[in-house]
Amino acid sequence: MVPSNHISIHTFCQYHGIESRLIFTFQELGLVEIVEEEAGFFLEEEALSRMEQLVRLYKDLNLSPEGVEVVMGLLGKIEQLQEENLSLIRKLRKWEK
Amino acid sequence: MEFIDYYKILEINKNASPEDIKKAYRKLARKYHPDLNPNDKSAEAKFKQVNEANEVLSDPEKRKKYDQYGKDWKHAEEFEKAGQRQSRPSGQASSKAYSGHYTEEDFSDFFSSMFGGGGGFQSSGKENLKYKGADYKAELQLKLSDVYQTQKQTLTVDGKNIRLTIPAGVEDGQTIKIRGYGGEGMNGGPSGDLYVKFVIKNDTGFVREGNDLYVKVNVDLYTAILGGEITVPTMDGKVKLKLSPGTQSDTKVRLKGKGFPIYKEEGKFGDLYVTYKVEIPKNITEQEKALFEQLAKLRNHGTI
Repeated sequence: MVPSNHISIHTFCQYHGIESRLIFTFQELGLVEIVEEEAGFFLEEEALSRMEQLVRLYKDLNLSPEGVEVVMGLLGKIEQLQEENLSLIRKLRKWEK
Repeated sequence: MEFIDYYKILEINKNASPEDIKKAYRKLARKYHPDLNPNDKSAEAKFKQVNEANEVLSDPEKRKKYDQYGKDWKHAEEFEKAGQRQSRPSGQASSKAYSGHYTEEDFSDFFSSMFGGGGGFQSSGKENLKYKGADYKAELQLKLSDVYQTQKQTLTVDGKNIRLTIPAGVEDGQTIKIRGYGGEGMNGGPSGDLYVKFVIKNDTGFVREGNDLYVKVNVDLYTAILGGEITVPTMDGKVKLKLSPGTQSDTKVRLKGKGFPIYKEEGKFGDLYVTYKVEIPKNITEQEKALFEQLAKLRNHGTI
Protein backbone atom coordinates (compact mmCIF):
# COMPACT_ATOMS: atom_id res chain seq x y z
CA MET A 1 0.00 0.00 0.00
CA VAL A 2 1.30 3.41 -0.95
CA PRO A 3 0.48 6.08 1.69
CA SER A 4 -2.12 8.55 0.38
CA ASN A 5 0.20 11.49 0.92
CA HIS A 6 2.75 10.06 -1.51
CA ILE A 7 2.82 11.25 -5.10
CA SER A 8 4.46 9.00 -7.61
CA ILE A 9 7.46 10.45 -9.40
CA HIS A 10 6.08 8.99 -12.61
CA THR A 11 2.82 10.93 -12.24
CA PHE A 12 4.60 14.11 -11.28
CA CYS A 13 6.93 13.92 -14.28
CA GLN A 14 4.10 13.13 -16.64
CA TYR A 15 2.15 16.15 -15.43
CA HIS A 16 5.06 18.53 -15.68
CA GLY A 17 6.42 17.08 -18.89
CA ILE A 18 9.84 16.34 -17.46
CA GLU A 19 12.05 13.31 -17.32
CA SER A 20 12.42 11.51 -14.03
CA ARG A 21 16.19 11.87 -14.38
CA LEU A 22 15.78 15.55 -13.49
CA ILE A 23 14.10 14.67 -10.19
CA PHE A 24 16.93 12.32 -9.29
CA THR A 25 19.47 15.01 -10.16
CA PHE A 26 17.67 17.37 -7.77
CA GLN A 27 17.82 14.62 -5.17
CA GLU A 28 21.55 14.13 -5.70
CA LEU A 29 22.04 17.87 -5.21
CA GLY A 30 20.23 17.57 -1.91
CA LEU A 31 17.35 19.79 -3.03
CA VAL A 32 14.54 17.32 -2.47
CA GLU A 33 13.89 14.00 -0.78
CA ILE A 34 12.55 11.00 -2.62
CA VAL A 35 10.93 8.07 -0.88
CA GLU A 36 11.46 4.59 -2.21
CA GLU A 37 8.60 2.13 -1.84
CA GLU A 38 8.00 -1.28 -3.31
CA ALA A 39 5.75 0.29 -5.91
CA GLY A 40 8.37 2.78 -7.05
CA PHE A 41 9.67 6.22 -6.18
CA PHE A 42 7.52 8.83 -4.50
CA LEU A 43 7.46 12.41 -3.32
CA GLU A 44 5.89 13.24 0.01
CA GLU A 45 3.04 15.73 -0.21
CA GLU A 46 5.00 18.10 2.01
CA ALA A 47 7.77 18.24 -0.59
CA LEU A 48 5.43 18.90 -3.50
CA SER A 49 5.46 22.70 -3.40
CA ARG A 50 9.24 22.75 -3.24
CA MET A 51 9.53 20.26 -6.07
CA GLU A 52 7.21 22.39 -8.20
CA GLN A 53 9.31 25.42 -7.46
CA LEU A 54 12.45 23.57 -8.58
CA VAL A 55 10.75 22.54 -11.82
CA ARG A 56 9.51 26.09 -12.44
CA LEU A 57 13.00 27.47 -11.99
CA TYR A 58 14.41 24.80 -14.29
CA LYS A 59 11.78 25.21 -17.02
CA ASP A 60 10.71 28.85 -16.87
CA LEU A 61 14.18 30.24 -16.46
CA ASN A 62 16.06 27.70 -18.54
CA LEU A 63 18.41 26.93 -15.66
CA SER A 64 20.59 23.88 -15.26
CA PRO A 65 19.98 21.77 -12.13
CA GLU A 66 23.17 23.27 -10.68
CA GLY A 67 21.82 26.74 -11.47
CA VAL A 68 18.61 25.83 -9.63
CA GLU A 69 20.72 24.79 -6.65
CA VAL A 70 22.48 28.16 -6.61
CA VAL A 71 19.16 30.04 -6.89
CA MET A 72 17.62 28.01 -4.07
CA GLY A 73 20.61 28.77 -1.89
CA LEU A 74 20.35 32.47 -2.58
CA LEU A 75 16.58 32.46 -2.10
CA GLY A 76 17.10 30.88 1.30
CA LYS A 77 19.49 33.67 2.18
CA ILE A 78 17.07 36.33 0.92
CA GLU A 79 14.29 34.84 2.99
CA GLN A 80 16.50 34.81 6.07
CA LEU A 81 17.51 38.43 5.48
CA GLN A 82 13.92 39.50 4.87
CA GLU A 83 12.88 37.92 8.15
CA GLU A 84 15.76 39.52 9.99
CA ASN A 85 14.97 42.85 8.40
CA LEU A 86 11.30 42.59 9.35
CA SER A 87 12.07 41.72 12.92
CA LEU A 88 14.53 44.62 13.15
CA ILE A 89 11.95 47.04 11.72
CA ARG A 90 9.41 45.77 14.22
CA LYS A 91 11.85 46.22 17.10
CA LEU A 92 12.75 49.69 15.97
CA ARG A 93 9.11 50.71 15.67
CA LYS A 94 8.41 49.54 19.22
CA TRP A 95 11.04 51.78 20.72
CA GLU A 96 10.42 54.76 18.46
CA LYS A 97 6.99 55.40 19.98
CA MET B 1 -11.12 48.54 -18.61
CA GLU B 2 -8.28 50.05 -20.54
CA PHE B 3 -6.42 49.13 -23.65
CA ILE B 4 -3.25 47.26 -22.78
CA ASP B 5 -0.18 47.83 -24.90
CA TYR B 6 1.40 44.39 -24.94
CA TYR B 7 4.34 45.62 -27.01
CA LYS B 8 5.15 48.22 -24.41
CA ILE B 9 4.94 45.64 -21.65
CA LEU B 10 7.49 43.44 -23.42
CA GLU B 11 9.56 46.54 -24.27
CA ILE B 12 9.61 45.77 -27.98
CA ASN B 13 8.35 47.56 -31.07
CA LYS B 14 5.42 46.62 -33.24
CA ASN B 15 7.44 44.88 -35.93
CA ALA B 16 9.35 42.68 -33.51
CA SER B 17 10.07 39.21 -34.86
CA PRO B 18 8.82 36.10 -33.03
CA GLU B 19 12.43 35.58 -31.98
CA ASP B 20 12.57 39.12 -30.49
CA ILE B 21 9.35 38.47 -28.62
CA LYS B 22 10.62 35.22 -27.23
CA LYS B 23 13.84 36.86 -26.13
CA ALA B 24 12.09 39.83 -24.54
CA TYR B 25 9.61 37.57 -22.76
CA ARG B 26 12.32 35.30 -21.40
CA LYS B 27 14.32 38.24 -20.15
CA LEU B 28 11.40 39.88 -18.36
CA ALA B 29 10.01 36.59 -17.04
CA ARG B 30 13.39 35.93 -15.48
CA LYS B 31 13.44 39.39 -13.95
CA TYR B 32 9.95 39.29 -12.45
CA HIS B 33 9.53 35.58 -11.81
CA PRO B 34 7.63 35.14 -8.52
CA ASP B 35 10.04 32.45 -7.41
CA LEU B 36 12.88 34.94 -7.65
CA ASN B 37 10.94 37.79 -6.05
CA PRO B 38 9.47 36.35 -2.88
CA ASN B 39 6.96 38.60 -1.11
CA ASP B 40 7.10 41.20 -3.87
CA LYS B 41 3.60 41.96 -5.05
CA SER B 42 4.65 44.48 -7.69
CA ALA B 43 6.96 41.93 -9.31
CA GLU B 44 4.15 39.40 -9.27
CA ALA B 45 1.79 41.84 -11.00
CA LYS B 46 4.44 42.65 -13.56
CA PHE B 47 5.07 38.94 -14.16
CA LYS B 48 1.39 38.39 -14.88
CA GLN B 49 1.37 41.25 -17.38
CA VAL B 50 4.45 39.89 -19.10
CA ASN B 51 2.85 36.47 -19.35
CA GLU B 52 -0.33 37.89 -20.75
CA ALA B 53 1.58 39.92 -23.31
CA ASN B 54 3.52 36.83 -24.32
CA GLU B 55 0.36 34.75 -24.51
CA VAL B 56 -0.96 37.15 -27.13
CA LEU B 57 2.13 38.17 -29.05
CA SER B 58 3.75 34.74 -29.28
CA ASP B 59 0.65 33.27 -30.87
CA PRO B 60 0.50 34.42 -34.53
CA GLU B 61 -3.30 34.21 -34.63
CA LYS B 62 -3.79 36.19 -31.45
CA ARG B 63 -1.14 38.69 -32.40
CA LYS B 64 -2.84 39.28 -35.76
CA LYS B 65 -6.17 39.82 -34.04
CA TYR B 66 -4.63 42.11 -31.47
CA ASP B 67 -2.81 44.17 -34.12
CA GLN B 68 -5.92 44.37 -36.27
CA TYR B 69 -8.52 45.10 -33.65
CA GLY B 70 -6.45 46.01 -30.69
CA LYS B 71 -7.35 49.65 -30.62
CA ASP B 72 -10.94 48.76 -31.37
CA TRP B 73 -10.99 46.12 -28.71
CA LYS B 74 -14.40 47.09 -27.37
CA HIS B 75 -15.92 45.42 -30.41
CA ALA B 76 -14.01 42.25 -29.83
CA GLU B 77 -17.14 40.52 -28.66
CA GLU B 78 -18.81 41.11 -31.97
CA PHE B 79 -15.91 39.53 -33.72
CA GLU B 80 -16.36 36.52 -31.52
CA LYS B 81 -20.01 36.37 -32.41
CA ALA B 82 -19.13 36.61 -36.06
CA GLY B 83 -17.86 33.10 -35.74
CA GLN B 84 -14.21 33.50 -34.95
CA ARG B 85 -12.81 30.53 -33.19
CA GLN B 86 -12.28 31.08 -29.51
CA SER B 87 -8.69 30.26 -29.18
CA ARG B 88 -7.87 28.91 -25.79
CA PRO B 89 -4.31 29.31 -24.79
CA SER B 90 -2.34 26.20 -25.52
CA GLY B 91 -1.51 24.17 -22.45
CA GLN B 92 2.14 24.44 -23.16
CA ALA B 93 2.19 28.20 -23.14
CA SER B 94 0.13 28.78 -20.05
CA SER B 95 1.11 25.94 -17.77
CA LYS B 96 4.78 26.64 -18.02
CA ALA B 97 4.28 30.00 -16.42
CA TYR B 98 3.17 29.48 -12.90
CA SER B 99 1.52 26.14 -12.40
CA GLY B 100 -0.55 25.59 -9.32
CA HIS B 101 -1.00 29.27 -8.67
CA TYR B 102 -2.02 30.40 -12.08
CA THR B 103 -5.74 30.85 -12.40
CA GLU B 104 -8.06 32.52 -14.85
CA GLU B 105 -8.28 35.69 -12.80
CA ASP B 106 -4.65 36.22 -13.56
CA PHE B 107 -5.52 37.42 -17.02
CA SER B 108 -6.87 40.92 -17.41
CA ASP B 109 -10.43 41.79 -18.37
CA PHE B 110 -9.00 43.20 -21.53
CA PHE B 111 -7.58 39.82 -22.45
CA SER B 112 -10.84 38.05 -21.64
CA SER B 113 -12.93 40.43 -23.69
CA MET B 114 -10.74 39.93 -26.71
CA PHE B 115 -9.77 36.30 -26.52
CA GLY B 116 -12.33 34.69 -24.25
CA GLY B 117 -11.40 32.76 -21.11
CA GLY B 118 -7.94 33.19 -19.76
CA GLY B 119 -5.11 30.85 -19.04
CA GLY B 120 -5.44 28.34 -16.30
CA PHE B 121 -3.44 25.17 -16.34
CA GLN B 122 -6.02 22.76 -17.66
CA SER B 123 -4.52 21.26 -20.73
CA SER B 124 -5.37 18.25 -22.77
CA GLY B 125 -4.11 14.85 -21.79
CA LYS B 126 -3.60 15.76 -18.17
CA GLU B 127 -7.14 15.34 -16.93
CA ASN B 128 -6.53 12.17 -15.00
CA LEU B 129 -3.61 13.42 -12.99
CA LYS B 130 -3.98 14.51 -9.42
CA TYR B 131 -2.69 17.92 -8.61
CA LYS B 132 -2.40 19.78 -5.34
CA GLY B 133 -4.40 23.01 -5.05
CA ALA B 134 -2.78 26.40 -4.62
CA ASP B 135 -1.73 27.59 -1.18
CA TYR B 136 -3.58 30.64 0.10
CA LYS B 137 -2.17 33.38 2.25
CA ALA B 138 -4.26 35.49 4.59
CA GLU B 139 -3.55 38.16 7.16
CA LEU B 140 -5.38 38.47 10.44
CA GLN B 141 -5.21 41.76 12.29
CA LEU B 142 -5.33 41.50 16.05
CA LYS B 143 -4.77 43.78 19.00
CA LEU B 144 -2.04 43.05 21.50
CA SER B 145 -4.62 43.17 24.28
CA ASP B 146 -6.61 40.47 22.42
CA VAL B 147 -3.76 38.00 22.19
CA TYR B 148 -3.10 38.21 25.92
CA GLN B 149 -5.72 35.51 26.17
CA THR B 150 -6.48 32.51 23.99
CA GLN B 151 -9.38 33.32 21.74
CA LYS B 152 -11.51 31.90 19.00
CA GLN B 153 -12.12 33.61 15.68
CA THR B 154 -13.94 32.63 12.54
CA LEU B 155 -12.29 33.37 9.22
CA THR B 156 -14.11 33.18 5.91
CA VAL B 157 -11.90 32.07 3.06
CA ASP B 158 -13.39 31.20 -0.31
CA GLY B 159 -16.86 30.96 1.23
CA LYS B 160 -15.65 28.42 3.77
CA ASN B 161 -15.81 29.29 7.45
CA ILE B 162 -12.78 28.29 9.38
CA ARG B 163 -12.87 28.30 13.15
CA LEU B 164 -9.52 29.26 14.50
CA THR B 165 -8.27 29.01 18.04
CA ILE B 166 -5.55 31.55 18.52
CA PRO B 167 -3.39 30.59 21.48
CA ALA B 168 -2.43 33.39 23.84
CA GLY B 169 1.01 34.81 23.16
CA VAL B 170 1.15 34.66 19.35
CA GLU B 171 3.85 36.90 17.94
CA ASP B 172 3.47 39.75 15.49
CA GLY B 173 4.27 38.35 12.06
CA GLN B 174 3.83 34.72 13.14
CA THR B 175 2.32 32.49 10.49
CA ILE B 176 0.31 29.35 11.07
CA LYS B 177 -0.50 26.73 8.48
CA ILE B 178 -3.99 25.34 8.22
CA ARG B 179 -3.82 22.22 6.18
CA GLY B 180 -6.37 21.67 3.43
CA TYR B 181 -7.98 25.12 3.42
CA GLY B 182 -6.23 26.38 0.29
CA GLY B 183 -7.42 26.04 -3.28
CA GLU B 184 -9.07 22.83 -4.39
CA GLY B 185 -6.88 20.16 -5.91
CA MET B 186 -7.39 19.01 -9.46
CA ASN B 187 -8.89 15.62 -10.24
CA GLY B 188 -9.11 14.59 -6.62
CA GLY B 189 -5.67 15.90 -5.74
CA PRO B 190 -5.15 17.27 -2.23
CA SER B 191 -6.30 20.80 -1.46
CA GLY B 192 -3.68 23.47 -0.90
CA ASP B 193 -2.99 24.90 2.52
CA LEU B 194 -3.96 28.18 4.10
CA TYR B 195 -1.26 30.29 5.71
CA VAL B 196 -2.55 32.81 8.22
CA LYS B 197 -0.20 35.55 9.26
CA PHE B 198 -0.95 37.48 12.42
CA VAL B 199 -0.45 41.20 12.34
CA ILE B 200 -0.57 42.45 15.90
CA LYS B 201 -1.15 46.08 16.64
CA ASN B 202 -0.03 47.33 20.00
CA ASP B 203 -2.96 49.05 21.70
CA THR B 204 -1.32 49.04 25.12
CA GLY B 205 1.23 51.22 26.88
CA PHE B 206 3.64 48.30 27.06
CA VAL B 207 6.45 47.43 24.69
CA ARG B 208 6.57 43.71 23.93
CA GLU B 209 9.85 41.92 23.33
CA GLY B 210 9.17 38.23 22.94
CA ASN B 211 7.38 37.22 26.14
CA ASP B 212 8.62 40.16 28.17
CA LEU B 213 6.92 43.51 28.54
CA TYR B 214 8.51 46.86 29.21
CA VAL B 215 6.87 49.92 30.69
CA LYS B 216 8.03 53.30 31.91
CA VAL B 217 6.41 54.62 35.05
CA ASN B 218 6.62 58.17 36.34
CA VAL B 219 7.63 58.59 39.97
CA ASP B 220 7.26 61.94 41.66
CA LEU B 221 10.37 63.54 43.07
CA TYR B 222 9.39 63.21 46.74
CA THR B 223 8.53 59.50 46.54
CA ALA B 224 11.84 58.92 44.78
CA ILE B 225 13.74 60.76 47.50
CA LEU B 226 11.82 59.65 50.54
CA GLY B 227 10.65 56.25 49.36
CA GLY B 228 7.06 55.05 49.38
CA GLU B 229 4.56 53.11 47.37
CA ILE B 230 3.53 53.45 43.73
CA THR B 231 0.95 51.69 41.57
CA VAL B 232 2.17 50.11 38.37
CA PRO B 233 -0.15 48.91 35.56
CA THR B 234 0.10 45.30 34.35
CA MET B 235 -1.71 43.59 31.47
CA ASP B 236 -4.39 42.22 33.79
CA GLY B 237 -4.59 44.88 36.46
CA LYS B 238 -2.26 46.78 38.74
CA VAL B 239 0.42 46.02 41.28
CA LYS B 240 1.73 48.06 44.15
CA LEU B 241 5.48 48.48 44.41
CA LYS B 242 7.55 49.71 47.31
CA LEU B 243 10.22 52.26 46.50
CA SER B 244 13.24 52.57 48.73
CA PRO B 245 14.42 56.09 49.67
CA GLY B 246 16.79 57.58 47.09
CA THR B 247 15.40 55.71 44.08
CA GLN B 248 17.23 56.90 40.94
CA SER B 249 15.62 57.71 37.63
CA ASP B 250 15.98 54.92 35.01
CA THR B 251 16.09 52.27 37.73
CA LYS B 252 14.75 49.05 36.23
CA VAL B 253 12.89 46.44 38.22
CA ARG B 254 11.74 43.04 37.06
CA LEU B 255 8.34 41.72 37.98
CA LYS B 256 8.55 38.00 37.43
CA GLY B 257 5.61 36.39 35.64
CA LYS B 258 3.85 39.69 34.95
CA GLY B 259 4.80 39.75 31.28
CA PHE B 260 3.10 38.22 28.25
CA PRO B 261 1.77 34.64 28.13
CA ILE B 262 4.24 32.19 26.60
CA TYR B 263 2.89 30.74 23.35
CA LYS B 264 1.40 27.29 23.86
CA GLU B 265 2.70 27.00 27.41
CA GLU B 266 -0.41 27.50 29.42
CA GLY B 267 -0.03 29.34 32.69
CA LYS B 268 3.51 30.49 31.90
CA PHE B 269 4.34 34.12 31.49
CA GLY B 270 7.29 36.31 30.65
CA ASP B 271 8.43 39.15 32.90
CA LEU B 272 7.47 42.79 33.17
CA TYR B 273 10.32 45.29 33.33
CA VAL B 274 9.41 48.59 34.93
CA THR B 275 11.65 51.60 34.44
CA TYR B 276 11.17 54.46 36.87
CA LYS B 277 11.22 57.96 35.47
CA VAL B 278 11.63 60.51 38.22
CA GLU B 279 9.64 63.63 37.46
CA ILE B 280 11.26 66.94 38.25
CA PRO B 281 8.58 69.59 38.86
CA LYS B 282 8.61 72.18 36.07
CA ASN B 283 6.81 75.00 37.81
CA ILE B 284 7.30 75.61 41.49
CA THR B 285 5.85 78.18 43.82
CA GLU B 286 7.90 80.85 45.58
CA GLN B 287 7.56 78.93 48.81
CA GLU B 288 8.78 75.70 47.24
CA LYS B 289 11.64 77.59 45.62
CA ALA B 290 12.69 79.01 48.98
CA LEU B 291 12.63 75.56 50.51
CA PHE B 292 14.66 74.06 47.66
CA GLU B 293 17.21 76.85 48.09
CA GLN B 294 17.42 76.02 51.75
CA LEU B 295 17.99 72.35 50.85
CA ALA B 296 20.64 73.34 48.31
CA LYS B 297 22.48 75.40 50.89
CA LEU B 298 22.40 72.55 53.37
CA ARG B 299 23.92 70.18 50.83
CA ASN B 300 26.50 72.65 49.44
CA HIS B 301 27.82 73.55 52.88
CA GLY B 302 28.43 69.93 53.65
CA THR B 303 26.09 69.85 56.58
CA ILE B 304 24.56 66.63 55.37
